[in-house]
Amino acid sequence: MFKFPKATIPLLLVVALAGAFVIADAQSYPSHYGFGKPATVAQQEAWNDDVNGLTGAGLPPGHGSVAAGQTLYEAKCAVCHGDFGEGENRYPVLAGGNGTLTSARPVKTVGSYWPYAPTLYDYIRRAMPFNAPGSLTNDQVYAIAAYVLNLNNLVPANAVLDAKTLAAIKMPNRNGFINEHLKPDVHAVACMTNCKKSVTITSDLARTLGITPNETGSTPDERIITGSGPAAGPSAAPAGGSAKHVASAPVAFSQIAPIVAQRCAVCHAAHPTEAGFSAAPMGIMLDTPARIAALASKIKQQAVTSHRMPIGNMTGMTDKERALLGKWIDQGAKIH
Amino acid sequence: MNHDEQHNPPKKIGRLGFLAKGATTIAGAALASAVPAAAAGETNPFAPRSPGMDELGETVIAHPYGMPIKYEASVIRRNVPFLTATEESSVSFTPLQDLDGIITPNGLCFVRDHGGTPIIDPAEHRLMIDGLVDRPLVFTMDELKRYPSESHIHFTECPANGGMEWRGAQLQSLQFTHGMVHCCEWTGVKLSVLMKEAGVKPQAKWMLAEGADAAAMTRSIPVWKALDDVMVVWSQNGERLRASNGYPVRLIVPGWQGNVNVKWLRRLKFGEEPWMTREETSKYTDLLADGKARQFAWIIETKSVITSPCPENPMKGKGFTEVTGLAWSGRGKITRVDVSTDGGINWHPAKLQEPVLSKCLTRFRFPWEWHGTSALLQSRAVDETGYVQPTLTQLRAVRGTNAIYNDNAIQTWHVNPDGKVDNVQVS
Ligand code: HEC
Ligand code: HEC
Repeated sequence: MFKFPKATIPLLLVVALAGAFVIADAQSYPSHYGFGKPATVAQQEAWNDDVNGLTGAGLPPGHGSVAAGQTLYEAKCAVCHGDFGEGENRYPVLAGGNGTLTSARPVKTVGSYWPYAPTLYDYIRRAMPFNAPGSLTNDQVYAIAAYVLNLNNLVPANAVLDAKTLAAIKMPNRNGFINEHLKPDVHAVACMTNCKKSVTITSDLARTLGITPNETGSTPDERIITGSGPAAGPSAAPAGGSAKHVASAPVAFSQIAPIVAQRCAVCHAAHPTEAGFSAAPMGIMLDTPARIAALASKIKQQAVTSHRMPIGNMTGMTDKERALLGKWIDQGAKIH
Repeated sequence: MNHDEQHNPPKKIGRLGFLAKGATTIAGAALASAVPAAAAGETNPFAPRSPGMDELGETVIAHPYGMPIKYEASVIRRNVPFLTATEESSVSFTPLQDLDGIITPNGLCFVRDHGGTPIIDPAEHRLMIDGLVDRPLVFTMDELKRYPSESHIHFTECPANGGMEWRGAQLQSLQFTHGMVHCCEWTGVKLSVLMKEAGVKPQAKWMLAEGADAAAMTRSIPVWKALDDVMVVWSQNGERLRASNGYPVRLIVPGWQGNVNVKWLRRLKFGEEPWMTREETSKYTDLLADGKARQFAWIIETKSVITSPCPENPMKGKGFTEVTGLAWSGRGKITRVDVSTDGGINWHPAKLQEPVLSKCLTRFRFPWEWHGTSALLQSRAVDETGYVQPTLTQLRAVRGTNAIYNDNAIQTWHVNPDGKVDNVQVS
C-alpha cells in the first residue's frame, strides 16, 4: 500500500543511520487517500437527473401532450413568459424570433436559437418554474416542453412527447453552433507610434444615459421597467360615473386589509405561507399597512388594471375585491 | 476664548471627559495664534490633539467580525436593475473604482446568480462524483477538507462583463462596464486528486458540474481541463467562501468563463459527450453577425482597463496623475500593458506591479502629466502567448455586435477639460 517516492529514500536512510526515529509517514503524499465514501446506487440514482441535450440520454420514462401542457403552462409559466411565450417585462421570450439571428435585434428563443430539444426538458425540470424549481413531475415536464415546442410550431397540437419522440425532434438551429474555441479569433498587433491617422469619438451615449453609481441608478430603471401608472392619489380616480361613486362611498382600510392578507400576503410576506415560496417574490412585501400603502400604485397595476396578480389567481381573488382595492387606491390609499 | 470655542466645539464628554475638556480649552488658546483657524462649523484638522486622542476608542472586540469604517460606506457592490427581470437571476458588480492592488475583498466580489444565493448548511452538504468512474464517491465537507490543499490566486470573470457595450458606450461607470471580475486567493483540493480517487475511466472526455442552487446550474467541462488546473475550493482570501460565492464548496476553473466555475458544487459526473445544457447553448454562446454562434468559447482572453481615472474617479487637477488599472488573461501571465492618452495613436509602456501571476489580475501604473486638455485614455494588455488585446472595432469585425459575451475590447475613457471622465468608444 505505502510507497516512498524515490527521492525520499536516501534521506530516510541518513536519518536511520544517525540513530533517530524514522518518521516515515511525514515524508510524502500518498497516491490514494480514501476519504470519501462509496456512493451507493440509490444515492446516485437520486441525483442522476441530468439529460444529455445532444443524445437525449437520461430522459426519463413518461409522456405528456401539448393539450395537457397548455393548461400547465398557463397556470405555471405564462405569468412570466407570457401566454404565447412572448415574455412579460424582461422575462425570457420562449417562442418566435425565427429569422432574426442575423438582424440587429436578434430574438433568441427555444424555436429560433436552441439547438437541441432534450435540453429544454432538462432545463425546465431542473430550474422552472423559476419560483418553484423542481416542483414538476416528469409527465408534466414532457407536457410543458411539448407545449413550448408547439408555440414554436415545432410539434403539432395533437403531439404527445416521450423520451424517444422528444429526442427525435430536429431543432431549426441545430447546426447553428461552432464549438470549441481554444485559439484566438482576433489577431491584434501592439503598434506603438502613429498607429492611426486620427481618432474620432464614435459613441458617447453613456454620458447622456448617465447610468453611474454616483446617482441612485434607479432613474433609468423606473423609466424602463415599470413605466407604470400615476402614483396613488385622487388624480388617478377612474373617469365617469364611478368617479362620483368614489367620492360618495369612501373605502376604509379595514375593508382592504383582509383582502390583501388573504389574496396577496400568503406569498408577499417576509415568511410566505404559500407552498413553494420561501421568500417574498421580488422582495415585495404586503404584510403591514405602511407597506401596502407605499406600494399602492404597483398593487393597482398588478391586481386591478391587469390581473397578473395573484399569480394564476392561486388565491381566488374575486372581481369585486379587485374593484374595491382599485377604489381604495384611487381615493388615496389611506391607512388611517 | 469665545471665538476659539466656536472653532473647537466642546467635545462629547466620554468616560474621561473631564480630562479631555480641560485639555481642549488650553489647547484652544495655543492654537489661536499658531495655526490659521478653520472656518466656522468645520473641525480644525490642525488642533494639537486629533479628536481620537482625547477619548478611549472602541474595544478590540467591539466588532468580532470587522466591517469597513462608516466613511467607506459607498464602497459596495451595485446592480443595474433594468438589466435583468429579477434580482435572483441577476448580477451585482465589484466596485473596481475603489479598490487597490489585485485582491478583491470577499464582501465586494461580484455576484452573478441564476436562481438566487442558497444558504447551505455544510453539515448537510455532499459532493458526489459519479458517471464514468471506477469508484463513485460521495464526500462530506469534513472528508473533502482532509485532502491536501493548495492555494492559488486567480481572477474570475463573467463573460457578460462589458456585454452592454457591444453596440455602443452605454454605461457611464467602470463598476458597470467592468465590475463582473474579481480576484481571490482560493484554497482547496486539486480536482485531479479527487479524479484519481474515483478512478475516472479513460473513455470519459467530459465532466458535468452541478450546483445546489435553485438554477441547479450545470456546465460541461472537458476532462483535459479538469485534470490540468481545476480546483474544488472551500476558502476565499483565507476565510471560508461567502454564500454568494459558492459556500460551502465551488469549482475554480482558472482563466475560464465565470459560469463554468460552478458554485455550491454538489456533483461531478463524467461522460463521453458534453451535455449541451441550457447554459452552454441558449446562454454563454456568442452570436455572430452571420447567425452562427461560438459555443464553448471558455477562455477569458487578454483584457485590461484603467481603474483611475474613470467615470467614478474624475481628474483631481492638472499636473502629475498616476494612471492605474488592471490587466488579466485566461491563457497565462500578463507580460505587458501599454497606455495611450490620445485614443490609440501612440502608446507608452506601463509599469507592471509585482506579483504578476498566471490567470490573475495584474496591476499596472503609468505616470501622466495632465495639461487640463481633452484626452482619450486607453490601456492595452499583452499576455505571455503574445495575444494583444484588440480594439472594439477589431472585435466587431470578427464577431459583429450581437455576441453579448466575451467582450475583451480596449476601453476608452474620455477625460474632459473640466476633469470629468466619460465612457466613450472611438474610431
Ligand atoms: C416567476 C417567473 C417565472 C416563472 C413562473 C417561470 N419562469 Fe421560466 N424563466 C424565468 C427567468 C427569470 C428565467 C431566466 C433564468 C436565468 O437567468 O437563468 C427563465 C428562463 C426560462 C427558460 C430559458 C429561456 C432561454 O431562452 O434560455 C425556459 C425555457 C423557461 N424559463 C421555461 C419556463 C417554464 C416552462 C415555466 C413553467 C413551468 C417557467 N419558465 C416559469 C422566470 C420564470
Ligand atoms: C401565489 C403567490 C402570489 C400571490 C398570492 C400574489 N403574488 Fe404577487 N408576485 C408573485 C410572484 C412569484 C411575483 C414575481 C414574478 C412576477 O412579477 O410575475 C410577484 C410579483 C408581484 C409584484 C411585482 C411585479 C413587478 O413586476 O414589479 C407585485 C406588485 C405583486 N406581485 C403584487 C401582488 C398583489 C397585489 C397580490 C394580491 C392581489 C399578489 N401579488 C399576490 C407571487 C404572488
